[in-house]
Amino acid sequence: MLRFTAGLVCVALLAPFAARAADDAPLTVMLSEPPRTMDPADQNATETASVLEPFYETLLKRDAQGTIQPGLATSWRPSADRLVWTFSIRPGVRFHDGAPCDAAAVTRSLQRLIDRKVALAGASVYRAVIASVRQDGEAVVVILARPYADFLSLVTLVQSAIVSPIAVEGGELSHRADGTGPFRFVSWRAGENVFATRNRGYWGVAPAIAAIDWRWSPEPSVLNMALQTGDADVVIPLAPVFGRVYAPGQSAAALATVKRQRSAALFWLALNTRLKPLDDARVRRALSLAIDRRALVTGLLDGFGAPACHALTPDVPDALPCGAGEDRARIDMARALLKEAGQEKGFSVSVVVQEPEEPIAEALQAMWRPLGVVLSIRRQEAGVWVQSAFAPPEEKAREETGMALTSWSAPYVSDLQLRPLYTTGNSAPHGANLGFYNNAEIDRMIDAAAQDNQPASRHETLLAIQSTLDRDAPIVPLFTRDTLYGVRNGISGIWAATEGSIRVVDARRAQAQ
Amino acid sequence: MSRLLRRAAALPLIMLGVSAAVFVAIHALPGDPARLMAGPQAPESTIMALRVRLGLDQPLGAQYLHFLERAAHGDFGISLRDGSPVSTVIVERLPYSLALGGLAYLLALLVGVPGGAFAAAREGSWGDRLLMAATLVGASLAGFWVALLGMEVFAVRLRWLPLMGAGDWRHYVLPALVLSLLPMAMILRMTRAGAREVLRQDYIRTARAKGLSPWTTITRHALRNALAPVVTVVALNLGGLISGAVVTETVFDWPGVGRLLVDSVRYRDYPVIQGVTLLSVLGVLLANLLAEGVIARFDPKARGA
Amino acid sequence: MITMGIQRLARLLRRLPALPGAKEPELLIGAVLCGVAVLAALFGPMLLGGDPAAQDLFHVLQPPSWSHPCGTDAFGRDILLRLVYGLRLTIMEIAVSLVVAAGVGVPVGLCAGMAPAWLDSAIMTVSDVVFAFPGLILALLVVSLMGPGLFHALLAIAAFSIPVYIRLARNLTVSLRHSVWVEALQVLGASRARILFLHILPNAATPLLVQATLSSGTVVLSAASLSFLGLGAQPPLPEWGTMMSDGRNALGAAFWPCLFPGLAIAAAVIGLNCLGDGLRDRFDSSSRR
Repeated sequence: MLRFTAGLVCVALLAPFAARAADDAPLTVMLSEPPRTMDPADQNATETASVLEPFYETLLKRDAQGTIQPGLATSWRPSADRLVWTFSIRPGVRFHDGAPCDAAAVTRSLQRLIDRKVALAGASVYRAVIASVRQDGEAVVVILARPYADFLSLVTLVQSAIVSPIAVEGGELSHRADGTGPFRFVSWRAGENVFATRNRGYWGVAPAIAAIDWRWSPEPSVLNMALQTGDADVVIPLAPVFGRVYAPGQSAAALATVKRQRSAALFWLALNTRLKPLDDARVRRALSLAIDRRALVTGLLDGFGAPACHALTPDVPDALPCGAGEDRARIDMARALLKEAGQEKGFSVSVVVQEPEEPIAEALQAMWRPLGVVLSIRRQEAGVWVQSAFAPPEEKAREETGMALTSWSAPYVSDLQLRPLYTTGNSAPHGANLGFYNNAEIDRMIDAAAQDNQPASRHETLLAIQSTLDRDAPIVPLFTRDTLYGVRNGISGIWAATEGSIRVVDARRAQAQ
Repeated sequence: MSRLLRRAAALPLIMLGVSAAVFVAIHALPGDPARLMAGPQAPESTIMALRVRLGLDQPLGAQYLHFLERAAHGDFGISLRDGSPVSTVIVERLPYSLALGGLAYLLALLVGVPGGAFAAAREGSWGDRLLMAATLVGASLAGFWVALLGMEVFAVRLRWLPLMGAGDWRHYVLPALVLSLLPMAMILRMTRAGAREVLRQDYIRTARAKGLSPWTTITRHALRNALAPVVTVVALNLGGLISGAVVTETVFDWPGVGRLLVDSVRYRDYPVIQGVTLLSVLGVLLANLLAEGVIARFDPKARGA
Repeated sequence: MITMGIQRLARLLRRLPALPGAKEPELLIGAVLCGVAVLAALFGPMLLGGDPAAQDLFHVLQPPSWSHPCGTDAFGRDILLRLVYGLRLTIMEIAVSLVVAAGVGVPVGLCAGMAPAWLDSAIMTVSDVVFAFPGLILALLVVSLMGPGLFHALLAIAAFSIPVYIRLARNLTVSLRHSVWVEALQVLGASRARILFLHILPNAATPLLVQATLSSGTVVLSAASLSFLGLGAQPPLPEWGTMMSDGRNALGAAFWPCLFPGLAIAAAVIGLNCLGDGLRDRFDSSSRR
């Protein structure tokens, strides 16, 4: 252990020299939080995914347009019942540690992903969908537990990245990235940065930039300042309030450009369906009706987002759009519903919220005041929030946790937006159904939609799911927030994925003038 | 001197008390570190296994004794966040904090002592009043407010200094200045008060009657005697400096122990919280002891007390 | 050249007449600032009118103007109105933490001063242990333990100023206890408690008052620091530290949500420190006379 740490320190000390020796300076990318791990399957955090993406590769990948492209798999084919998928593995690829990334290594990596004993934090979907994985010569065969229409999307996510068997066995993966990606891990200094250099043995097109220096600050204003001073080449996320600072004609526009990526991240409020008076669907609906979603998007996001009125995020193909007037507060309807439920005098309720999302709760607090609903806000550190939000029903009853505010950042895949949040089997603490919503009909319909390959009937099922969820209101959808990121002028090739992570491997600097 | 020895002998006892208090307090915190480490979706069996591995399944008293035993060998446990030993994590960060804190104190002394002496020599003058007003304002500002405004003005608008992080000497300027504000104000005021007091003594009056200028009197005679309270203030204010460092390091993204503490609180990395807390308490206690020793050497009056 | 200029400037400055109120300018400034603050806290909300929690999300971060002299914050709330309401909270903060700190510290210190030597040194050792905690770290511990919130933050702040009062009260007691006057009372048969409360405590009142005023500034700053770390007052309370820490998120696009609460805190702390210094100077000179 000690020797390993000493090695890390040496590498860390050498890192700046390695960077200086190269022709061009490292690309400095600043995030809002440090990576949580170097193990791609053991996390669900957008920022961590950003840092890990250059180190690792997945079987398939999405390009900037969202199209699925070959990754470590050169070709793939499903069986007739779409339950068995065979992936041909790209020959000649090696991990950063030199070990070959062949079918055997890919198989082991995927088997680890679905291993219940390892219980990786980002792997619950894979555990639910994939029954087993086996090697077949130069190919890998993935057998599904049930038909899953969006299976190919799953193997583009960083959680499914292929990791080196040597690093897994050494138990080092959590603090030392080891994959096949175009950049290799150099150092991770916990308080400071993650440093990555170009992987000279990369099988694909070599990256234009020599190194990436990942840094982070929890202060939104510091991210903005760093972009202006050049301390960072790229910052993500840039708080919406700074969008106007880089508007054409402003002095900062000469330094950097702000880009906007529509995001699938839905901000929502999970209501504890087992706690009085939230156990009454009318009360839950009333709370939803009293929210002025357009005001939230205007005031908190400076317009960089869209109101969300139903369970699926607006950009998912089968999503119900916000109807006329649905994005504004309907206080009278809310009052009527509360009266029907015998709660016309209002009540007190508490919400747990992570620090950066606290303003949303503060806005809701003011919006519910006319109903006599007193919202007490428990602003929590990320770690404590996970504890409170994912607590089992008894604990939430004891702590009187009525609501949890958070965002769910899934790609534009309806099943990934529905299954984790609404099915009985995913009730907290096992999944992200934080309000313990329990409806057998919904469970059945979500399963049916996931297995359905017929777009028309699938669309019908998804519409039925959304209207049932509107009626039961186990959660209150609020809005989707666009991912804003700033890039110093003269740097190109940076893009953001729909789930909010930044992609920097194709970055290049304009030739110095 | 015996008093000093007695204090030194009490130090391990005090540390024992502090460590027990910190240990109990931290273990009473909400949040199960094993669950946190394993992730929210981990099965109960994984969490139980982790608890056993971390020794969390044992009674609190046993855990504490175990902790003491290992601490005696310099082992303060493993960071829950990245799995490295707590001592290594702290030792990696300590040089950054010591450099920043040392520079801040040096700055405070270099400005505070001559400034205080000057103010005492010119008591009642405009310079004195200006300095007093400046120290009053300096001690009344919230450190992070000054830091944020300083970043906005000097890093973003004027581009004179780097925004944040550690690097060459320019990275030290803003954080060290912000951190030095409070001790600078206190040292200046203490030096002034001490020098004023000494200036009223008979031997100084004699010296002045002989025609020495107040400035010479102060530098030759008064300052030496006025420095004992300054040393006390410096030592007693170390706790304040550490508190200030927590905030300053957070704002300036300085990779020191203060920011380590804030990060660790956020992540419930309690072996690190415990290590940092104990380290800072030990630092403060040692500094106090040192100050008493220095005063006992310089001030014959204190020796008998 | 430059030195000559400075010398000339210094000579010029020395020739200027003394400041008005020059005898005790600190006391004057402090009293005026604190007096204005108390008046503003009492009557400001009535004069300005309006709801400090009322949001207008369609008019967020409006720069200072005639209708909003300090601008609006990230929720479209009027910053001046919130500052004035926040003044009441600040006064409450000071009161609560002082009552707790002095309420625990003074009796303990008085007892330690009168107690036999072994008990005295035991109490002082425990007090030293608490004092050795760097304040903010202790506060972080307390708040993590009890959960974030203004009251808990105040308890934490009070906790680390208790030892200051213990030491002050104890030292005063010890010095008075050995005075001829108290020894005479003891000879006359006065009980310990009687001496403590009727003779020693009134004599300790002035230095305690000075200490309390001086600590008030620290209380305000500490509360702001804890709020900065997200552990202090919870929304929608218009607490200054929270306002400033919320405002910092817009710094770079809008300076006013951070600047004005910062100025308010600075003014309040300067006022309290001036008052404390002034009172101490007056007390010191009167005791010397």
